[in-house]
Amino acid sequence: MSRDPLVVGRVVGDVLDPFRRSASMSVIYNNKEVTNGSELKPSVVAREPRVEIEGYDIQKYYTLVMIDPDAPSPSNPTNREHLLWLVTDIQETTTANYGNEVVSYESPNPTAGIHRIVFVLFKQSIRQTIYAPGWRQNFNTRDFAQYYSLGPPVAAMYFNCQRENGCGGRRYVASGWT
Amino acid sequence: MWPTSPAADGNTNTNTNTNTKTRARLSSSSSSSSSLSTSSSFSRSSSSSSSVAVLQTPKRKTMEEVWKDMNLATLANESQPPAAVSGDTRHFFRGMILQDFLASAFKSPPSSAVSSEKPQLPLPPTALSLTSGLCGPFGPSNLPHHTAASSPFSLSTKKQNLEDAPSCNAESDRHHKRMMKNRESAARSRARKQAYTNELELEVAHRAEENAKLKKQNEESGNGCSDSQKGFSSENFISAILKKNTAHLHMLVESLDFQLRDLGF
Repeated sequence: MSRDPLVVGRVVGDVLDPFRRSASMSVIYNNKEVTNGSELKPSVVAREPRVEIEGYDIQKYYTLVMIDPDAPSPSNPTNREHLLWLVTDIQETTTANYGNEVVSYESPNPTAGIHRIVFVLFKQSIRQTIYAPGWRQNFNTRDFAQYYSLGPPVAAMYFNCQRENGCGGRRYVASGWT
Repeated sequence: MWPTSPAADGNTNTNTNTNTKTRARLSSSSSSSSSLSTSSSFSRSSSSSSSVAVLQTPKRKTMEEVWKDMNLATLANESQPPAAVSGDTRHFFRGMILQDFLASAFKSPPSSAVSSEKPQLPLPPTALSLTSGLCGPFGPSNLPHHTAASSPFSLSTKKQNLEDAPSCNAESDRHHKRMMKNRESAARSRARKQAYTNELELEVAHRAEENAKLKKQNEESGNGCSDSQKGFSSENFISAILKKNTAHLHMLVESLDFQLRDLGF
């Protein structure tokens, strides 16, 4: 069994197929880099992060997809995946803020349960035009990549997010009820 | 293989019957689940029914004996006696006993493999749904561990329900659903925790490696081995010497001047 956090956290499986990491991506909220699999509050992720791609080749372009596969709730993900942000034509050495924002950043705001918020990075073979889908719900990263011939992802990471005053996904306070 | 180490799970084993316990251990896989049936094959391989069937055959007799013993010895109740169930498959037979057992006394996690093939049984519906539902999360989520860990929890909550539950389908369905959701949620929670732990471990290992590398580099440069370092200190040395020489030259020029003046130039 793989020990890769993406596999253990079922990101590979629910959202992506197994892939080999070939790029280095850092997601930075409020000057703090996010550790894969950590938990962030909605207040922290209210504004878009700085997404840095390591490298010096300005001829390379990347597409970033940010989705919530556990919408509206992880036990009932009928809106899987909910598209939160879509940026294309990002170059190495720059950040996603300099790319072409096809779908504007939406702050993750889970109401039920603990959601995974996934960032997926694809390498564009050419500088292509990518169109925004008609709606954010039921986005499918796999199909999207196939449609635009993006190939397998080159990097991915995720963090967990729950309601601001959430209590770890429990409906009742743990003290009196199991 | 059959684990020989004592299954010291906090999960189960309220069985006082040592015989059963031994047999249970023998029949359970190395996974944390120590279910008292042939679910071992199921949890080891992910839901391949052929392997389940094959692996179950040799143990069936043992399990039946076990269940029979338990049923007769420990269950002094309304449950249908094992002999009453005839003309059905072995699966069904075992299932009957199992579910009866479960219906009256929650002692161990139900068999997951057993339930895979009998959706309709004329048994207490809650017990039925309890076992038949177990196959649900196995397919999609593929986490062999989560049954055992989650089952004692959900079983203990359900214990009360089963004891009072009337044979009402709606209610049993609800219980069933609740239990399934709970199980999945527990599995997700475990996955979350494990994923984060793995990530931290990876990071720690990575940083330790970097650290070692940098330390090594530092050591080498400290001895003046690296060229750039050497150059830098040489420059410093040379410039110091130059300064000193310049000062000397100044003094010499002045003294020369003085002497020349003396000579009348």
